[in-house]
Amino acid sequence: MVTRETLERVVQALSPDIPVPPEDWEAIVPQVRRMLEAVRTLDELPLDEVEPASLYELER
Amino acid sequence: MWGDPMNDLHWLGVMDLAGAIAAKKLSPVEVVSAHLARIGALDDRLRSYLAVFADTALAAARAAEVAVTAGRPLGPLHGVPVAVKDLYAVKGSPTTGGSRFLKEPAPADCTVVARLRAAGAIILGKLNLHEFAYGPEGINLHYGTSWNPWDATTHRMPGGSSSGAGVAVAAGLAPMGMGSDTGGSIRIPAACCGTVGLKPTYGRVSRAGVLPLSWSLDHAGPLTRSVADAAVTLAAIAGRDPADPSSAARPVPDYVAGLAGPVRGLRVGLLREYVEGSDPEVQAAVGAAAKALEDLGCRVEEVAIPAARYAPGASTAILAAEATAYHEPLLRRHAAEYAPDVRRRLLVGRFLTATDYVRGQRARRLIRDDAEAVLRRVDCLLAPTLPIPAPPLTATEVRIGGRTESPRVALTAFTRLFNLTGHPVVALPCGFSREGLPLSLQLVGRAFDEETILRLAHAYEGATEWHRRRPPAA
Repeated sequence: MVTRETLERVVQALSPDIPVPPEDWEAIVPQVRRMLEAVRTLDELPLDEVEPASLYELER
Repeated sequence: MWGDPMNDLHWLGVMDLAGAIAAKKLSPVEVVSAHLARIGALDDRLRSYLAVFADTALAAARAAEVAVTAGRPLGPLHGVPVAVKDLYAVKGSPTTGGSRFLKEPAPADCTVVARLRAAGAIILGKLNLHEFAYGPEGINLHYGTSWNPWDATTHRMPGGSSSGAGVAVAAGLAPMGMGSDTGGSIRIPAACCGTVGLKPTYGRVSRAGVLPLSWSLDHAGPLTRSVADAAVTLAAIAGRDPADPSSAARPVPDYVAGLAGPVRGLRVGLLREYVEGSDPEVQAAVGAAAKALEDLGCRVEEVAIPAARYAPGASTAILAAEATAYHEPLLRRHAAEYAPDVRRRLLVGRFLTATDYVRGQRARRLIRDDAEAVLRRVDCLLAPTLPIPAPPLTATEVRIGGRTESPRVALTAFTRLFNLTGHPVVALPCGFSREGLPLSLQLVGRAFDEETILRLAHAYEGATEWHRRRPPAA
């Protein structure tokens, strides 16, 4: 579950050199939830045999 | 032909100015002086520029005048003043990104600026933007948000992130402004400000020397007051650049000559889902545009891109991860100096996993395949650029028909898909709301087929009058 506490632990564990200003947490927590919800919609796609797109494909 | 040249100069477009200069009917010094005077008169209020290069622009104009007088060969944009979003490196000037802390002068021009200069254009200055291009509203808390010139009393969103380009071009402070588009940032301000906005095919125009937001999704392109001006600009800046490994090696067609080709028989796919997701005024305007295209001899049919509904998720996964990755070193040193909304969006990106990002890139391939399949059946797509006209700057939600939406979601609803797919898109005016605000449509082409959408957009422009209206606050 996405809470301020869990997100703070992630920040401390992975990138303590970029602290989150205390005043930002109120906005960040719901934004993280919305972001992850949006990304989870991609689970509905049939991606089994699909390779990632690359930066340069349209050039061919 | 021009009435009083010194009063009408700022409304002449790129091609008209270049033609008049080459024919010695106008001097580059007159043209640059007129634009500088107009910037001086209006931009304290409009805030479209972050930096104006008056001295160097006038010096370049005098040199351009000498070249004309001496009968030297002239480039297609000779003597034409243009401006660039403050993401584009211009030698000797800081590339601020709309921030307070990036202050080092650029050691060299970026590729686009170098090509504009090689074509004879004169760089007037750097344009305002949503800080680091990370917002569709066009807000800049450090320098002030550009004023949308279509409403003299209410501060409306100019659209972002290329807000300064939209406002400057709409208000006659530059005939062309270079923007960038990662989720809609050329097309959204073009729609809000009633201009043309061209997002070329991914890889058509070099991104070298342009501050990135998301390498997979960034596109460089112009905002102008006519399709022909977008075409002549694209011709000057497109083409392979070894400094940008994603830039395409494909030959650059003569986009201007291509404008005169026929449009009869073109098959246009109307994106039904996007039309139905729009405000009734937008629906009516796009419906009328579809009828106008039919009157031009096109065949308009409804189409759908089923995977388009996943564009927000895929775009979020890619954009958030790449933007945060780019800004990590800057956040370590300057976090407190970012505008809060931009800083928070960047911090949010840290909570995506690597597999989220890869999932986004895999979804991108599927979504692009879906769009390509539709574009094999039709020659181009037609859709609204925005579901609503420009909302007030202070709006926290907007009404679209019977539903409410956040402004950020509404402004990017119809644009993000084509950053994922990389297809070329031209946005242009297609009407006005009851309140006198511009409405906009977008034409989407096959990869590297800017010619077809520019030709059709040019024909549509010729059959309508929307692009001739001037904003009241300019």
